[in-house]
Amino acid sequence: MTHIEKETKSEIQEIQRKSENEANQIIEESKKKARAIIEEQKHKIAQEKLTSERSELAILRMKQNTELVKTKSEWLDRAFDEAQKKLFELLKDTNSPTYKKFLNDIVVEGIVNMKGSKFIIQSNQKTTDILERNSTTIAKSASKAKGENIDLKFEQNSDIRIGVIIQSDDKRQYYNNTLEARLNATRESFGGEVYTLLFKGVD
Amino acid sequence: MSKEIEELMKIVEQEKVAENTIQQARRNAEETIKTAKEKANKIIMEAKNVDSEKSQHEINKESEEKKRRLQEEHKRKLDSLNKCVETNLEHAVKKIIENVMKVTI
Repeated sequence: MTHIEKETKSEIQEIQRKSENEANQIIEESKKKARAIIEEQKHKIAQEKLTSERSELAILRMKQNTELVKTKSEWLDRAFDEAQKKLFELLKDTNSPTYKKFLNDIVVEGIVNMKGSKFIIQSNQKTTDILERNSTTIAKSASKAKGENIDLKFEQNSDIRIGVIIQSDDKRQYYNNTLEARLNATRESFGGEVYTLLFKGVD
Repeated sequence: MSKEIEELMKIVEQEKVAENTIQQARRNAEETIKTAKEKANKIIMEAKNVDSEKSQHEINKESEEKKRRLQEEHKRKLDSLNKCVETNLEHAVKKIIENVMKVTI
């Protein structure tokens, strides 16, 4: 091999070595850049997703809370509906001692909570009959409870199912002591306690 | 004299061949680098396209899993609530009846 050939071979090897090095470096750098792009994309997507996920989960939790509140409210309604059914069943026999005592008590309660001494008691026909038959006893109980002589009149009102509406003689005051009114009042004043009783032990 | 010229011409010829060979080697080197650059571009393009879909898919999967767990927990809560209330209902109804029947004089 001549000197020129040796020199040429050496130069060609140097050119090949440099080009291969440069090519490898280009590939390595592109792989590094690709990894960085992937990481950046992942981070970007994760950030975007995190924001939308947070709002989606918040909406889902809100829906679930609404459903939970609705379910509880439906249970509360059901408790009062069942109580109402049982009360109507319990008080449907107007001749029963339970009904008579209840009637006497709600009339007296109404009178005690009103001003004056002359009252009109409104009720359905059957109840009016009972009240008229027992008017002396009821007036006596009411007079004793109120501490003054009470004068009672009775009127029929077919809209009333169970219970009475008491009016002052001048018709300016009234006291609704029907079963429905008592149930509403109970729901208002006792609803919280019923809620606690119903959901006792719920986690 | 003619032998010297002959020698000189031989050297010139050798240098010419060497020059051509080196130029060819340089062209080959440029080709190698060009191929490497094309491959590098392809790697980057793939990273930009394919992996973004993959990442999205993975993140969506995680998100769906979170929702599923939340819904399962909610269902468990509702079931537990309904079971518990069914036990307490009778007592609550009894208390409502007592309260409605209770007269304050």
